[in-house]
Amino acid sequence: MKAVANIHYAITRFLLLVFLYSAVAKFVEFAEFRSELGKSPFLHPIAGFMAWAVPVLELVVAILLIVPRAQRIALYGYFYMMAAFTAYVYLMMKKAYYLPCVCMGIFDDLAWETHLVVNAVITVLVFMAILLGQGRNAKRRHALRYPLEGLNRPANQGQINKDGSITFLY
Amino acid sequence: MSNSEHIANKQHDTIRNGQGKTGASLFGRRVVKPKLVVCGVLALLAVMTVVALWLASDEPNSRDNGFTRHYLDGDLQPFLEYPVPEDVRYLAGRLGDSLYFSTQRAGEALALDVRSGQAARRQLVGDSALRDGLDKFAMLEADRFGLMLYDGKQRLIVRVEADGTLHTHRADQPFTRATRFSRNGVALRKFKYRERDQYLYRFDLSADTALDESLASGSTHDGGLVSDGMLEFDGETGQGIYLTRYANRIVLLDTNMRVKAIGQTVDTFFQYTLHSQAVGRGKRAKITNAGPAFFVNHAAAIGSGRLFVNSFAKADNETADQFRASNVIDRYRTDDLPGGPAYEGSYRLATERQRRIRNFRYYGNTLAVLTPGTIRLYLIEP
Repeated sequence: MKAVANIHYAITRFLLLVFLYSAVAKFVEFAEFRSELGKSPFLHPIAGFMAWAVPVLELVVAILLIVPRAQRIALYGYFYMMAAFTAYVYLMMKKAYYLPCVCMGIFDDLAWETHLVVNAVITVLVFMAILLGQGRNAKRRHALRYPLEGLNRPANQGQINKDGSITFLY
Repeated sequence: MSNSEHIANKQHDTIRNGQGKTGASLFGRRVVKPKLVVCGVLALLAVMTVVALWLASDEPNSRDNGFTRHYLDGDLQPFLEYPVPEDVRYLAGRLGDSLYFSTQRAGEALALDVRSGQAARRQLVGDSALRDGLDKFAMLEADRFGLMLYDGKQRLIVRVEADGTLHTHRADQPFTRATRFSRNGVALRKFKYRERDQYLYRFDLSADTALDESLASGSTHDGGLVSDGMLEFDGETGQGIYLTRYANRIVLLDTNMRVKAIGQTVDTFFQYTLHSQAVGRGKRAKITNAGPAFFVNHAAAIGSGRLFVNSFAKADNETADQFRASNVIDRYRTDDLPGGPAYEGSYRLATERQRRIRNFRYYGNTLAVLTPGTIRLYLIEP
């Protein structure tokens, strides 16, 4: 079970880096990012708004990912943004009459097909992180079932004996 | 049950039910199901957001554009069809019985024998120093006089004789379009010194000089971006055209680059559909398009007094699905008409998987049309 926790930790930190990098790259090359968004047939009427909204939201989600209590809501936000971005890339490839470059930094040279795959992979990672994380009511349910636990001793402190039995220390 | 056993059982329950600190809640039904529901709803909302953006966007071909086409031969069927490698970029022209294609390797051409269907790669530039210096987007042209290689960034014009001999020439400024109209005459669209625009020039290969500049492509002070177009010459009649990509403007030229007439393609896009902007400041400023680029005219070919234009503008008598399922080529007469070229009709070329034309050429009643991975030859009525 510790492996699951480790995987969850690794995924969330990776997702954090992706959004952090993406947001910073957009701010550094803001004029170009704003210009590229304006070339999108779907976004050009709201390009000015989106040019600010996307990196700010990425930054907010990235910061919330660090805060343990806000991690769940950050992951849902991340999932929504990535799902929307994946759907956008797919629909652009299928329906748009002009394909601009909307990528920044290391994603600058990606073809739209590759971008779709990268987006899909990241979306799946976010989904995995959501599944691997603790549920919304996990602590509350635990507290209702075992109201005295924690008051008397910290959980899971003990040692495994040679015969396989466990001696708890409290 | 002893106290320690009771605690051990309780601890076991804690882990089994996924309530412990270990994150073991993964496969508990009560925990996973709400997560799946929330993710499903979020995914649905995300797709709805994007679809709403798509529906709200303005696509010129989703509405009526105020013109109609009439079709000359119904759906044209090819009489010859050959696969070509994926690295083929465009059809450079015809020389003898072979069609020549530009590939992604600088200085290389692919020659396809139309009779046998045999294709062979040919390195046009033997000199490795010259070849290494060539831009990979160097333009290749094949005509009745031989092969030409143009590298606009390097200002280089390379004439390749039939025996493989090379003659190199340099223009005085970088250029973006080039085509040969006679053995020694080349038409260029090039940057004018210290001006933010491009103009049409005639370049004489025998004397290495630029002559008779023309303002035929207009002056938009954006490096020629908005008024970008196709420069083609009819080797038989000496008739030249400059056809804009983002508006329906056709300029008829003579071999001195003088404007003979200005006309329009059949559609109604009189204004440029592209706008430009400068991104960045000072010397680092980059001129780029300020909106999505809608290609009114995508490709063109000229020959035997006819101009053929692959148009991306949907007519009112075509449905959006029909238009997507085929490539349309409009035909014009380019005789010296006072109002410019006259529309004669259109051809509809069926295409699979909505593959658009890369470019095409016209020679001897034949349209040679390149789509990604395939070259098709169509016979048309003169």
